[in-house]
Amino acid sequence: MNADTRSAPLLELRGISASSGGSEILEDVSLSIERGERIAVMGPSGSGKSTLLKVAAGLEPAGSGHAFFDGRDIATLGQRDELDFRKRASFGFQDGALWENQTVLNNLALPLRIHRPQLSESDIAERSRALLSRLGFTDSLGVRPATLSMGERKIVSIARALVLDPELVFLDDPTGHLDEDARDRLYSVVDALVRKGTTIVAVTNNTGFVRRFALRLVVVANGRVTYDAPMAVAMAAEGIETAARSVVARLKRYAERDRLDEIEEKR
Amino acid sequence: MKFRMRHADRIVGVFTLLAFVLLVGVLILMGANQRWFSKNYTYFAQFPTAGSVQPGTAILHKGFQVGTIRRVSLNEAGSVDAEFSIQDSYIHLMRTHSLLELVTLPLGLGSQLLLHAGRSLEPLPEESFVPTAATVEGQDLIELELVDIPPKDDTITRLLSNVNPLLEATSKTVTTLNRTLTELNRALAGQSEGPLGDIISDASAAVARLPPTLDGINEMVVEARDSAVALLDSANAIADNLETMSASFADPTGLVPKLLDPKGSLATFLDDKNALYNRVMTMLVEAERSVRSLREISASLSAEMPKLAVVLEEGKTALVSAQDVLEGLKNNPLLKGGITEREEQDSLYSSMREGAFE
Amino acid sequence: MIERIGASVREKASSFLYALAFFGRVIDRSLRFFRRRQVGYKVLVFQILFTGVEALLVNAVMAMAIGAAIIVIGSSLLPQFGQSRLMYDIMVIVITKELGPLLTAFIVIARSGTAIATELAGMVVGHEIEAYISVGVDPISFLVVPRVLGMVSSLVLLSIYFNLFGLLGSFLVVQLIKPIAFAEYFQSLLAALAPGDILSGMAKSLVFGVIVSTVASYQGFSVGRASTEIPVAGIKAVGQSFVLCIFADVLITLAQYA
Repeated sequence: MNADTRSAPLLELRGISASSGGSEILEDVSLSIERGERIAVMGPSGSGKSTLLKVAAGLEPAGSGHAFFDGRDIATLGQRDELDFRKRASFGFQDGALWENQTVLNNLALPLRIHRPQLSESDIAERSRALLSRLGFTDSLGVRPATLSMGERKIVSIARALVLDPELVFLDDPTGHLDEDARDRLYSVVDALVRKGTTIVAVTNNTGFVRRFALRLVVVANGRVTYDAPMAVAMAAEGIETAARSVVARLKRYAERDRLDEIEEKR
Repeated sequence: MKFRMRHADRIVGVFTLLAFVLLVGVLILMGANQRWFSKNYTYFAQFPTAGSVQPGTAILHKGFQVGTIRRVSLNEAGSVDAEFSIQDSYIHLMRTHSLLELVTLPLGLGSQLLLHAGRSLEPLPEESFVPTAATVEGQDLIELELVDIPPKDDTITRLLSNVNPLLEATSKTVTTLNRTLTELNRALAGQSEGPLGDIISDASAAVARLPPTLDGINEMVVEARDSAVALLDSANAIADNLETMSASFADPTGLVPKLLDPKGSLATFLDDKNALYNRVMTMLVEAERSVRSLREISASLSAEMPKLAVVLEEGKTALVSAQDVLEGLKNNPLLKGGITEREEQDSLYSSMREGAFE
Repeated sequence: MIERIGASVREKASSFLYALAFFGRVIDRSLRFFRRRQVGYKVLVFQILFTGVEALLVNAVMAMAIGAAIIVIGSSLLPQFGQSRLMYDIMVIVITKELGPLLTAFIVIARSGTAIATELAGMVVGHEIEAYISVGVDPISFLVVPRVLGMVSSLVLLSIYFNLFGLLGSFLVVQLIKPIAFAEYFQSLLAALAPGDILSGMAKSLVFGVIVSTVASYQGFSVGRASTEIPVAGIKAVGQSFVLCIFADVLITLAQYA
């Protein structure tokens, strides 16, 4: 078993399909992610990249197909394996998804309390504060998320995803809502992750982020993986600028087509 | 808001604890009130049938619950073995010769299981057998007056116990009437020493006392209508009384018929076309009929109240007639009077009929 | 047409099965709650605070009003039939066994059923539930179970207070209008009250608590992404809770007398 899991990729998606309200969001997506890989998933809005990330993280059910983490199907994990999976893989939400009825401190402390029960409350608070200040959040930790700006919420959300030092981090639009300053701090924190060899799967259309961190570029459009190549290949082929530009052009095209489809549908 | 946040634990704790304290308190009070914790003493009894003796049936003494039937089972001999418990505060009632009596309530109101204390100072040991009044053993105990059976409190009982002395008084009046007639007879025969008018006035006054008492009966009858007739032993006693009374009236060898005989000396003296004689005879007939009715009731064990009321009404009418006769005697030509016009009273009988059958 | 009926039946059946599975999971996690004391304890305390303590006033006023009405009517009307003792039985039946638990449940549905449904629905819409799952927190254990336990204990506790206010508070109210002897009242009441009555009332409260909290949580979780679904979840929670509570009340009452 050990040998088996060693050889298996850290995360593997096989034939994933997902739908919502009768419309297909993902169609037969397969993806294999090795340990230490840093993948940027790009694509137009509504292309299904967020859904892909959530299915891969086991937050949304796949209509068909399977997602494997460390060789185990995440849909059928037992309680202990589930806890292990959640401890090793974390998720940074696009819109923060902070727990509104908890303080900022509790938002970070809850994962620690569950997965590091040996930590004392003061250790937990110390750890949370240190991480948040590295990300540039210096406000009181006793406030509730409702009082925070969108950028601050985003930072707290990313901090929550990183507080457990996970092996695998899913980041949904990590740079969204962030100002220049905050983005720089985020980059330095991600740099630290890179040094630790953390596997990162990020959904983003921020070329700066992609150019700086991605080792592999995946483009999703209309629920399908339309491009999947190592960053070096993408860069060598066209240069990241062109790649990005072509991507953006394609996004626009797809978006246009989607909109037309939608109008067609409405009729 | 902040205040409550900080004290949430305490408030919830108080809220919870208080509820439990109250609950436990109420349960303890209930237990004390419903005697969960007091000791009960167990005894055994036998009944012919378990029809009205079921587990949970209350055992009453003078209207208080003193115990409960716990278990009943049919034994091989075909009678019902019952186990019952007596509360410790009433254990003094359980003495040698104590007795259970199953009383059927009138009007199908079910039955009551009564406990009568034995007239003995010796306590009855726990788990003893307690006889019931329906058995030979129980009857013996009652006849030997070894059991303290309290009078049954019941409207009918009260009514009938009042009616009985009343009828005795009536009977006395009749005796006085007899004596008066005897005196009259003797006076007419020239044997009397006292003044005739005084004697007759005496008798009249004695009879005049009756009607108000009889009105008392009316009220009691109305009251009794709401309940039901039981205790026909008392009714029998009344019947006996009335029988004696009517016998003295009807005695063919007595003085009255002789006196009133149309061919007797008094008749000639009074010479009122036998009016007096007829009146007395009517009175006798009516009294007899009343007796007969009472007897029928006691014989058929009828529990119908209106019938008894009618009987009593008839008795009243008969006795009122007797009063009239005496007044007639007093006021007859010999004494220069005559029968005064009687103010007609509303008949209770008819009004009761209306009430009962309309 | 037939296909549509078939599809709708299949959908109904599958959603019913889902609801059953949800309920089973809630019960399972509730039983586990006591085995490991976790962070849900605080939520439990607050749930009791919001559902129990804060509803106490409404509950008490309602109980006293009903109790006083029964006493006033009972002490003036029933003696006319020679059944004045019946008043105490009526009080026990109405306040302890029947209306008490049901009315308390109604108060709690209106107050906390909607609160739970809309709060959870808001969490779903704000992706907070996904966030809980992503850090390995079971939303049912962490969010639903404390609410279920809090609501059940609140209802049971409130029904005790309802009895207290309905049976004794109402007596005090009646003293202002029409004095009756306390010793006589209290003793007769205690004589009429059986432990089974209290037990039955508490059993009803327990069942109602499970129903209201589970239905509210279920409806709260049933929303999708739109914030407009949040009030709808609240409305559905109230409607279903009412119907299911009345249904359960009838069943429990029937089970007792049959």
